[in-house]
Amino acid sequence: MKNKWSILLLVLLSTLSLSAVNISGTISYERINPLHNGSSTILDYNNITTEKAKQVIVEAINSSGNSIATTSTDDNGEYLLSSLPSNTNIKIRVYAKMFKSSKWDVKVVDNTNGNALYVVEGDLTSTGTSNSQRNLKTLASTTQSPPFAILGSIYLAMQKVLVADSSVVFPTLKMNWTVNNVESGTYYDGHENIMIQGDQNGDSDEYDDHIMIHEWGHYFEAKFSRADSIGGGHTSGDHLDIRLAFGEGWGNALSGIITDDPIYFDTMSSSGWNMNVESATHDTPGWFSEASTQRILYNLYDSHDDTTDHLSLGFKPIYEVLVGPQKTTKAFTSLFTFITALKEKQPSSTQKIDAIVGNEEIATIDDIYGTNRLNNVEAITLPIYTPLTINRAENNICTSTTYGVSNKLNNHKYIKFDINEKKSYPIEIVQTNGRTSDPDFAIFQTYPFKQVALSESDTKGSERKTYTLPIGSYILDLYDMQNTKKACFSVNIGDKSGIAPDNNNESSSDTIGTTLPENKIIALLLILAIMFIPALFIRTELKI
Amino acid sequence: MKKTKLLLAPLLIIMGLQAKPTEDTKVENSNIKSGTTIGHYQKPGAPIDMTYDSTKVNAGEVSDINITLTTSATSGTMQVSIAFDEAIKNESNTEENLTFEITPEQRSFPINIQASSLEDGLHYIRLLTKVDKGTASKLRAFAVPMYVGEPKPKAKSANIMKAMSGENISVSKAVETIEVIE
Repeated sequence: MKNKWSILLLVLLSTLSLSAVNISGTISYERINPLHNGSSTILDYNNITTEKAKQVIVEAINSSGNSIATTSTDDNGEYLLSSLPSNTNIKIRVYAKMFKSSKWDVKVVDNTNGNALYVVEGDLTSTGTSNSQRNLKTLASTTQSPPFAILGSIYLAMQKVLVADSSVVFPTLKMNWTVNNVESGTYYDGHENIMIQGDQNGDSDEYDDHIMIHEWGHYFEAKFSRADSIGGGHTSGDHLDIRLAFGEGWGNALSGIITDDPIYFDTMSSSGWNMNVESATHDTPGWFSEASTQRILYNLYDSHDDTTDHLSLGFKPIYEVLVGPQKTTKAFTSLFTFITALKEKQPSSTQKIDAIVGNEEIATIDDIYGTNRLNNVEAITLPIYTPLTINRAENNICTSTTYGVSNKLNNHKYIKFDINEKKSYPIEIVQTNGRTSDPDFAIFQTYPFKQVALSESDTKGSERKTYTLPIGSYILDLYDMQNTKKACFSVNIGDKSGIAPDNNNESSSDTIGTTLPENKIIALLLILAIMFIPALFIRTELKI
Repeated sequence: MKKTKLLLAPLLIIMGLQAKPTEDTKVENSNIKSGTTIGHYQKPGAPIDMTYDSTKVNAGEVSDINITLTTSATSGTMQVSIAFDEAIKNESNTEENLTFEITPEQRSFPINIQASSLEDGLHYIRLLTKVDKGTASKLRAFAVPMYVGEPKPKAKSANIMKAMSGENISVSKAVETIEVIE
């Protein structure tokens, strides 16, 4: 009898002491690494490494499918789920999601299947009576590893920024990847989505970490700095619109900065290519070149000195310019605005900065508008910003397609002007060498910097519109939607003195407000009026 | 009831006016699908844009596919490798490896392909393009859709389920090792 009570006591004690158990473990994924061979890069299936899945969400799921405990992995991919019930069937579930309150929120979803979040899990197994370790790993031979590889690249980028500024809070970001992304391309949508090509028979980017970081660089620029880039196709040898050149050069440089590896690569099935963002052969260098921009930014950052690069600023000074003066600059974001601000913030490094810039055949940058450029470009290019006085026409502002269409140098011409009195201003743009073009324009207020007007009529040879403009400084962005080989314009804001004669005189009037966000209220009222006025008539009829 | 309909009418008109296409690919008529990369965001790569139109056909019929590759480069060469999905048969004489000389006057290169398939569904013709300019080479890949017959009903994935948060999740099994800690 005594023996029986002893056994019962032992069982009770055992149950009490082991009523809760801990499960810990490591979450990892396989990454396929690149193999560079000259200018070619492919994925090397003989070089697959196991990487830790950092900061991903881990849950204990019971047999009813409910989560009974949740945590995140640390920077070693390790997790701990404590105080779990003993002798209970649970499985470990891992989400392709990194979430830390007031810090980051990034996930990878299948955009072709209900935006389903990728998840991997283990088997439903009893927790037993002892602490245990459950390690989960995804294989590169499946579609499980790509979401975690993508998160790995993004986490690396976030860490670099956090080292420069620990107070940063990253806005929500959704990475859209699936093997069904055959036609999607890889790009940042300007908001909270990065689309990722996943065509396993063609081009897929999930293991191309430089591409992931390049696109994340666009997200960073949009969310923390300012991205004035007009987008579109581009490459390193192009003469690009300065806004695009900076945005793309920044993305390329950042991929090298974050990985501390200047070899940017893009693999495609059994093919691929690479470029060195630090030392690639100079192909048409200049302030209009994304390649020059990427080399300048990378050389400002890196600790590797070469012929003209004797500066090793690291990331923080670059970051501080981007989130500071580059965000509030009164010109379009470009190499000019960035270098001007960097020189102001790093006065002791001015000569070294100028040397790095000069190595790209770019004359010393002294202001945000890029004045004093060398004449090594098409004659109509300079000045980059044409100053305009109200009521006085500027008569020889030309666009051209010499360097390509849409987003290349001279497809857009910038005109800066000041408004000293708030009133209505007619804006007239008239082609002076024929009627072949379709000129359109956008107006940007420079402080705070935002687009406040857009005039895109289909009128050939001219564009006219009247806006009420408040006091301030503005930039007018003039472009030819017709892509005329060379179109020259007379531009006038205010009275018509000096404007070239034009028979095709179509004009309309507007206030800035029609394109301002706050006047969406007017649009809404208009919509409501359209909806309710007929209803009032009906009501009247029914009463009768 | 009448009032509701009348109220809805202007709203629907407004919604219709504001509707925008959501896909790159648009249907110009019921039998021709067209698309372009021009003006769309692109990752770094060869300076090439692609425009295509492709006739939708029934299984066994020949689809006429017109592709135009345009480059902003003014010199060098453009190499194009064309690959067909297994279900597609190339019915044209177009070679699967093409080389074009780029000049300031010649930057746009049309490619015409006739192809057929015995399988209904969406198939792809893939183009791997490469621009060589001096010592530098850059690549860009494109995929041209070919629509045959009725689209295959999308197989509902058995792995899609709801998380407790209500979010859709796509679940698969990982490799797991379990070890009891003594």
